[in-house]
Amino acid sequence: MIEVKGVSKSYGAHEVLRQVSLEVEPGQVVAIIGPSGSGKSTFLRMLNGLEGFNGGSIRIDGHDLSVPRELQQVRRQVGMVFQQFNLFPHLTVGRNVTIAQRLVLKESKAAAEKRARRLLDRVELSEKWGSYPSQLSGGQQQRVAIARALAMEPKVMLFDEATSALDPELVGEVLDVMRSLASEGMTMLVVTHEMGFARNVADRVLFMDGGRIVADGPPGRLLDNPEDERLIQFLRRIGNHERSDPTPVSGAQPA
Amino acid sequence: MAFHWTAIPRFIPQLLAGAQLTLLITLAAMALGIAIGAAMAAGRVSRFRVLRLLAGLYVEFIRNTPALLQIFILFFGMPSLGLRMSAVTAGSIALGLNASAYLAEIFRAGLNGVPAGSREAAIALSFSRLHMLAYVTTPLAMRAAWPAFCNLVISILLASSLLSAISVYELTGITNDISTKTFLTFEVYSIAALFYVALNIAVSLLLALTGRLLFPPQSR
Repeated sequence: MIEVKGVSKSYGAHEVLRQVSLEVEPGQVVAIIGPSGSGKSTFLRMLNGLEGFNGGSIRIDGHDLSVPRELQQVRRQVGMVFQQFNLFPHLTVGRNVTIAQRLVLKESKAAAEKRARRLLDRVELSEKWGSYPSQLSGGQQQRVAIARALAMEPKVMLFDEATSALDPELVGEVLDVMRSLASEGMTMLVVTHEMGFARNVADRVLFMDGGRIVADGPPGRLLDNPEDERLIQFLRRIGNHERSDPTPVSGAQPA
Repeated sequence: MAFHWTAIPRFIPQLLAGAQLTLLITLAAMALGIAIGAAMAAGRVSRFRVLRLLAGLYVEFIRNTPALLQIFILFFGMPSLGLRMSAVTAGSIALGLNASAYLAEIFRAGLNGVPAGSREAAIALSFSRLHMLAYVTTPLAMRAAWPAFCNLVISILLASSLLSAISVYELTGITNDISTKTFLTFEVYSIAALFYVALNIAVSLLLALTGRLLFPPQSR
């Protein structure tokens, strides 16, 4: 589904990503963890062309990201959920979820609205159809943003710290939606600080540091028996003390 | 000192006609200003250096010369280039050019006020450039620029009084005329001032109403 080969990225002399390679199978849920500045968000944003890359190649579902025309194809198949939600503030919830279907997929109004209502129902926000984003809580906005991305019927969903800007009591409702997506077999790449999610939902965890993927493996092995010294330090810093988190929804508590 | 307020009512129709012309000139100047201003704003954020430079020069040149001088250039100067226009036309164009420079800056600030996240979301949703411009950038930039835009409309309405200097019978011009013919100087100018206040309040209310319709408060 996703094939990344030797991708690098630098801003001037500063190297953000160094020779990153990765293959992700369809249906895999990959959590990407690492300290800030490790390049994990940049890497994720590269996968739908929000960031360019200097060397190497990226193919998603067979499409080569370095070819401009294929890039548009890729963006249709890759949904993105942002830390700051990035809903269109001037459009109602309903319009936020239908607009790309109408403009990009050329769906009829009726078909677009039907799908939007189904997706809003799924994130339990069908009653907010006519509301504007500013009238919703952060958690609600993020669930609308997930519905908006799903409306394009993507094959891959990217989550860029989707719960980091939320008040702690709102994190759970967003993670619940993400968990249900994962259980339905959506291919997901999730940059996150929620160790509970990484441990309980992800099939695979990547640890990034200094622009490289330093460790890659199933969450049990990576989080409970880390071998890499930097990963051990990182896990200690974010307070990964409790080995099996009884309340996975709320994730790891900061130390 | 004796005032003759009772003599004023018979000049009201003339003053109303003047006020009407003031509004028309303002409208024409704003229409021209919006067209050129939008083009200049696009120039100022263009990826081509030459366009940025030319648009910048235009804006700075207009903003650093007096509006009255711009009116004189259009009305007295253009005929020597073979372009002869009526005073109303020349004056409206001059005011429109004047407005365009300020509007270019207002629109540019509006573009800067578009949240980067909204643009990224549109890109991630695979919007074409045209769709992004039409459905995301323009409405959000207009929303951000609206208060400054409303202020400029009032400024241009007031500046239209400068056209009296080239004998346009807008509100100030007609007032001058009545004043010199009747010597009711204080009375007619005071009444004209009230007319301006009334015009501006009406225009402001109309703009505020339009703003509420275009950009509902909850959509901010």
